[in-house]
Amino acid sequence: MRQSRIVEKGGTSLTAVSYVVTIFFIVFCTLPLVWLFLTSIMDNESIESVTPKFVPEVPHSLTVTLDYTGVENKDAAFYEQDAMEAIWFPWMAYMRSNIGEIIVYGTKDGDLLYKAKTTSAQFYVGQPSIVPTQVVNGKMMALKLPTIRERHLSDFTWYGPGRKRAEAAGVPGTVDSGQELARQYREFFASKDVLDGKIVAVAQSRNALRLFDSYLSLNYLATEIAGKFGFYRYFMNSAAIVLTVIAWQLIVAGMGSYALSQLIRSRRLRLWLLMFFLATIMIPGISVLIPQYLLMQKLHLVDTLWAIILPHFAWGFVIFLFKGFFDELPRELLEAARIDGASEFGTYMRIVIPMSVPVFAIVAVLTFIPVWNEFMWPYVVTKSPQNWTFTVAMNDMQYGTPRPNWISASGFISMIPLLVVFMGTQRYVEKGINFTGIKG
Amino acid sequence: MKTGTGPRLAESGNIRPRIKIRWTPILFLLPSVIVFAVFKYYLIVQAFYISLFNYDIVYPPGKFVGMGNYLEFLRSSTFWVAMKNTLVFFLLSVVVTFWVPIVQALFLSHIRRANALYRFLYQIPAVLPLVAGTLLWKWMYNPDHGLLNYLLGKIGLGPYNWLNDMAMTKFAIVLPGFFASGGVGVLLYFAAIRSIPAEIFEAAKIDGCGPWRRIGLIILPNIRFVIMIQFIGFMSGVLLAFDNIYIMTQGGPADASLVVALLIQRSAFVQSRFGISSALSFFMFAVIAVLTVIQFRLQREEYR
Repeated sequence: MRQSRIVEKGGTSLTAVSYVVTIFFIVFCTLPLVWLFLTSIMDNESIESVTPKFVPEVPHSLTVTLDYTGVENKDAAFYEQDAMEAIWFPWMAYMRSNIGEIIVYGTKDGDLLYKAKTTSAQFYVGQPSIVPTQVVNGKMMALKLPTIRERHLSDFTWYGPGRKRAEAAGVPGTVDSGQELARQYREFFASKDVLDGKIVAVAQSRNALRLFDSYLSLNYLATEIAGKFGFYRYFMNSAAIVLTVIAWQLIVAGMGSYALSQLIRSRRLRLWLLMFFLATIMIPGISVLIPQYLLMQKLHLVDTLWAIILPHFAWGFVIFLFKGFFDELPRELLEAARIDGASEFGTYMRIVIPMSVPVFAIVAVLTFIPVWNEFMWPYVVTKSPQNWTFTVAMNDMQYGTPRPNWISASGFISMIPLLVVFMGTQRYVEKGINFTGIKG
Repeated sequence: MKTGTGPRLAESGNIRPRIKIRWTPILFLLPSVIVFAVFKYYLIVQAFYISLFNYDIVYPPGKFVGMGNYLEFLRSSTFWVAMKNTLVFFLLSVVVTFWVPIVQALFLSHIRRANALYRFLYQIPAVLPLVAGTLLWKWMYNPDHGLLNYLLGKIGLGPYNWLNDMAMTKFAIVLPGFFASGGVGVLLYFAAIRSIPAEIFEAAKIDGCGPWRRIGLIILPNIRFVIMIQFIGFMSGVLLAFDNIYIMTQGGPADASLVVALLIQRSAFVQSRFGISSALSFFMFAVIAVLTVIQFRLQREEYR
């Protein structure tokens, strides 16, 4: 009885409601992210079906054995083309069947000639240019073969006759799974005379690894327009921009604010300078959009990363944060360092910086978030894809190649940097919020 | 802001008068002063200058029209449609998103166990970049195979046209904000609640004020300054919103989601009318400037 009287009336219900409300908000607000992740590992047919599926289906894996016994010996390119025909044409015909990979083994007289493999990460990137239509003929593939090689859209390993026994390499012989996709595969070629090899075995299974092919696709995607890093190039651009801006803010704005706070003796000059910096908080980015663009044109910086970086160097809010912190530094300590003969720069490096880690952390985080998320200015000022940030690239993706799971995958990846940064700095951010006053 | 400082040792304790220029502060400040002068002051003056001309990009600055550009947009019906839309967006955002972090922080402050973990979990929905979140939602809004119509259909609602529906498109653009409205805002309100002196709570307790009533009588009045400051920041945020609207609808359907920020972008980079676009952006600057000054005033009052 005594115990229960310590608990205030209404206290228990408030605590209970608090837990319920908090957990509800956290779960409910995370639901879109769960859907984002699920769709990133889902095949597009499931995503776009009228009744959405919530559990991704593990993609199919087809292993095909082509036998060339009786066909006269040719060079590797001949077999490669044949293997590509055996992969790309039926895949195009059954694109809606959630195929994850097709592996083709070529054998002759019991020897393994080659192994070819295409994953869905490669297929969906290459499909618009390699097999844009359902037209099936050997001449077409001969035209496309250089593109496949150049963009690494299929792996092809050539062994040649007499080097490796097929059985020893674990190539499926005449076994036939008889499952639907394997049957369809055989039917597809039954009516067409394109393959030089004879289909002796089609094995069907599932491969869970291929669930994550949308992430790998980003690697192959846009290789010709954005350089060899594929879609990740855009993340690199964003990262380069963010890191440059953070470096500038920490070094230059930090030193400037320190001078403003501790080194300027004249009170009037100090106030003037402070107003000079803080008044710029009133100027929103959209208001200087046009002159900023014209300035970049004059500087010949349009369509470069510098055009995105430079405007971020002038941020009144960062000066406000730094100065608020530096004003509170113990003056006696700084004076003691000066009396000991340390230069102003030495004092700043050796005494001020080690004492100010929290404010540097906060500035880094509060700089990271808006620069990483920025869309309009990079969208306006960049033209060529190699200078895009990931936000611009993602916007472009919704109009270009309609592969929803690529958009999901890139969206999911774009969360990770901020999440990691936040995990590492939550302590400082919370400490710093007390002296920031307003949100950035 | 505290700018005043006490008497300084260096000033009072220096015997030898120093006449030489102190280079360190100049060197420390110079880069910042230059970038601010160029990227803020030069640009905003330039924006005003351009707004006075029928700006010609090939032979700048073109024909001088004085206040003509301002008068033109004030007379155009599109501008007033954009203003009206901005107002509706603002009201909708207040209803849908503004209160969320306050409520979240209120209840969070009553949780003792693993509080830091909950604070971290609240950050997760907010770390999704706006562009990615907007694309995700745009796709869930798809009338044919979108997730939302499917889920609402299960409970007998819909189907809705969401972004293609003139009456609904504004709500559909604002709704994702509900899910992402946690973030740093929760931390801010949480910190404000935590900084309320414990004596006030004790006194209220002794006076027989229960925990539920304390929310309305103690907590909310004590953080009202933070709420007001946030509210004004929120206003500028809504006024300047561009990314999510542009990605979702580009202002459509039939200008139902057109806002001033989109109008600026459209008149400059679609219609190449830089003069009128600058006039609009200078107008936006004036509005935001007023809001920022109010925000700073409030903030200073809070410190007192």
